[in-house]
Amino acid sequence: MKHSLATRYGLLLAAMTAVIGCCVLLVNLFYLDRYARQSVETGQTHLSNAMTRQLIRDAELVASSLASNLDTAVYNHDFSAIQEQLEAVGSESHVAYTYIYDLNRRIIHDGSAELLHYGRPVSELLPAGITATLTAETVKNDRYIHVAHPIQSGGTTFAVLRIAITYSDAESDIQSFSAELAKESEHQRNNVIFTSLTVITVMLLMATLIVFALSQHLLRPVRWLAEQCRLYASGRTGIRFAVDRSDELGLLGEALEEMRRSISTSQRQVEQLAYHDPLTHLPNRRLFNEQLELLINWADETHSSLAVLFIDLDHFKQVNDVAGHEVGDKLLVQTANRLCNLVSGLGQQHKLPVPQEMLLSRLGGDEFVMLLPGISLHHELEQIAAQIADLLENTFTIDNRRFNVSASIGITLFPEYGHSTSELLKQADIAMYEAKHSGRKRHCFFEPEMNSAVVGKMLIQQGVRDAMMCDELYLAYQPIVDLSNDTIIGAESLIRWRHPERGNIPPDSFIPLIEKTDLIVPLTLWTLQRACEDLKRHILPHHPGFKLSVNISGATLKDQSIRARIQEILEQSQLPPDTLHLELTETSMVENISACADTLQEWKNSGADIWIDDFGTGYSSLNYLHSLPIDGLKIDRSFVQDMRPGSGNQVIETILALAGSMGLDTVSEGIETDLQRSTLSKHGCRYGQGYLFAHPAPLSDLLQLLEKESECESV
Amino acid sequence: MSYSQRGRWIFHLLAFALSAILALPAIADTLVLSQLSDRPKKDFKQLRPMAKYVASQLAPLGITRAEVRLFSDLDELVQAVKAGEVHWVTETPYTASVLVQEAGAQPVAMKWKSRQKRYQTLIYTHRDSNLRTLDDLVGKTIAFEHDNSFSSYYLPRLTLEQKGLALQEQTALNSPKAPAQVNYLFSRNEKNNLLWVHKRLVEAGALNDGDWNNPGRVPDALKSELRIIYRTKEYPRALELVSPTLSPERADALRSLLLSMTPRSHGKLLSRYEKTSGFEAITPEITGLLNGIYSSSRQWQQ
Repeated sequence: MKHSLATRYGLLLAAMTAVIGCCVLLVNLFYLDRYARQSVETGQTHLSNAMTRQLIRDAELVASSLASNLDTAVYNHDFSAIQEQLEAVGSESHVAYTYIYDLNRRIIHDGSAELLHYGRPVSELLPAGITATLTAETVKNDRYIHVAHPIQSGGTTFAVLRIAITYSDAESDIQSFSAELAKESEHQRNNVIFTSLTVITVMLLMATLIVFALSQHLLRPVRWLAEQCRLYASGRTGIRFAVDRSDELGLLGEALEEMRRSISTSQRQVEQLAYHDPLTHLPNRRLFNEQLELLINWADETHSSLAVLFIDLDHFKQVNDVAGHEVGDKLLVQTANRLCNLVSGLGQQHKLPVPQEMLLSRLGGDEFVMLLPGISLHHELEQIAAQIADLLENTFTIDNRRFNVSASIGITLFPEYGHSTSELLKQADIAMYEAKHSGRKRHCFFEPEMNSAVVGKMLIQQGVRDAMMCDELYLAYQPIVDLSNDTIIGAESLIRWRHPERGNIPPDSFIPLIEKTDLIVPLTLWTLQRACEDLKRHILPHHPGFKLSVNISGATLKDQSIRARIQEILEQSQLPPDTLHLELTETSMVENISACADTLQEWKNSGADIWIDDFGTGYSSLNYLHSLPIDGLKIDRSFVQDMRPGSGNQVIETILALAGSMGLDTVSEGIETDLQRSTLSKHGCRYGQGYLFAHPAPLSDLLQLLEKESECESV
Repeated sequence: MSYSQRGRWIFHLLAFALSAILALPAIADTLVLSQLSDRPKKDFKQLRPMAKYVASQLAPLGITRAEVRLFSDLDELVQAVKAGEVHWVTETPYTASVLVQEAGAQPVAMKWKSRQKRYQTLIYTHRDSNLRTLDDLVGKTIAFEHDNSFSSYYLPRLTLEQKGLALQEQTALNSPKAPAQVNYLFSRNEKNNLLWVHKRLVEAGALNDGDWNNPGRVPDALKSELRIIYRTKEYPRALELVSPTLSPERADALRSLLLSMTPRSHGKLLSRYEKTSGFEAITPEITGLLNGIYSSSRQWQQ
């Protein structure tokens, strides 16, 4: 906090005070100056007028008293007396002249000792504009007041006194007065400046102090709130924001308190969402992990044991597929409720040392995990597993429909088998997996040897999943040749895995594994899509009539949406008729015989031929051959490899005969020798496939082969 | 009379009353110096140091303090001298003659004033005037200063009469002149006297040679336009007199003291005492001179 609000507001107010103070000072000074100037001016004018009037009065008074004093002296020509009197007046510097003249307007006395102007006409001595009047007269002229006053005796004028008084003295008085006034105003001005500055400084100090004190007072709750917020942010609990005030800070406190409550609520909701499954309200995988960790610690500390039961519903997927996800969800909720009741009963029965909310979690899909601390005896656990199985075997009634599912349960134990959460969960999962594969609706205890096998499988499954995402899979093509002339008429697309670290992974090591999982469906779709693209884009343009075989997993037949997806791919590809062969195993067809016929017919209608793969290895019912729209048979390699020269090839012969009788084409797989080739050819097999002709190879190799062949033909 | 003059009179009256009251109990021991004065402030300042000095010198004779008393009226002065209220007077020959004759005062020394042992009166006219002798003044007007003035009244009048000329006082400047006599009137002071002649209000004037030669009184500018037509005999400038009531020892002591003072021995004191430059013993002809002045003046007053 570089500059606190207190500092900022303090500075702001101080600046405002200073600015206002200075403005007031300036305005004051402006008006004071103006006032001083005006008062000096008007004072000067008034004073000047008053002094002029006074001077005139004085001059008249002087003249009249002088005249009345001089009557005898003038009458007697007492020049010295006249001079004494005139001198007394004339010695004043402001008297310009004093003249006494007779009725002939000749000088009787000019104020001098020598009386040099005696007898001269007074008009010669008077300044311009001043007349030698014989009556009283006052003239203001040219900085002088000229006064004439008759000197009388017995009411008769016999001489006239003329005196001129300058008011330059008065003016200089006025000027000095004005100067003094100006000096006084200057003094006042300085006083005002000093006082104002003092007041401003004091105000500034007071403002700063007040703001500081006020802001300290006001901001203390703000700081407290900020500190509370920081503590709250650091995760401290029990923080409250309410401020016991009725002002804005009180409101702020209330608002923060409201926010805290709201955050707490949403935190709880987030926690609920983050740690619980929204459907069943059971702890989710994350909370399960934490709880498992806690129980492991507990078991570790109390030298007790902990059983982990991994429960997976069998056939739940079918419920989802058949009845929809909504029903599936309801079934899951009912399952959770049944398991909760069971856990509740178990908790009472076995006096489990932890709250029952910790004991059951849903990890996702149809996977539930039950934790049973303190129970380690196998027979007890088997009993509980049986209870679970019974519980879930009971029919679920949802929306007036009845559903039956079962559960596969994997069980593992701490500390016998696993020591960490991940280990225990994996073991329970593996055990469940084992149980499911050993025929569902079972339970199975984890055994260490399960680990490696299952782990390998799981790794492969996960690897394939990743490989599809990362484009590590590709199609290899093994040519199919016409046995009569050895020309390539088509090829079978085979999936291959090029692992970035482990190189090419043999198809035998992952395809059988994948076939047992749901992964086979997306893998089939991927293969079909890719094969169709290659055929259409790279092969058919140069080799029209080329036939490409694609293996379709029987699993795709079970799901309507997958069947539709295949249909969609076929339609989008718009391949010429008789160029795409879809190969399905006998077993897959037979298992889904009801849906199969229609599906196959639809695929056929979309331009694909239907072939039976590995013919002869599955059910030996030939009935379906009639009920399904089959175009050809692929004779399994085991029959070809079992062929002996000369005789003993009845199976192949029979198959070929059968195919021949039904008008089906045949391809023999796995031909590796000329003998096999010639024998098959002899028995009427039309096409063949095997290392004798070519190994499966990438598309480019196939194209080269085809190129070479067409060159030979053209030659 | 102006306000200032009136004020001056009131002041004199009060000053006199006060000094009279103060003087009474200590009269025997106080030496009182007096003079006629129309300028009491100036004259008081001039007389006071000498009075104090003389009193201090006469202390062996019982004089404890000095006092200056100024008079505006000759008769009052005469009475005061007579009554012994004034012991010592310094005056012009005319006043001295009256004091001698009417109060019995004794002259003790002649005073040299402004380095003038004696002085004379000058009768003058305007330079352009065609008056050349005193006889030419018949039917004309001459201005004297005032009727107490020795040099500018008694002496010139005496001179004119001794020449056989009759004098007639003219009431005012513009009043008619007697054609067969010498008309005179008073100019009140020497300034007016000079100006009246210079401005030809009168044909002639009379001033003593001390004033004439003082450029402060007769500026050169005016003097050059005037002409002296007659010079009188010389008379003592001033006289020191004592009251007949003063004891002979004290009178003798005063006389001796005054005569002993020279500008060298008492320069500053003398100078302050009306610019005195020394004293001279009374010569026998002085008595006759004073008698002559008195008798002629009495004659005119009749």
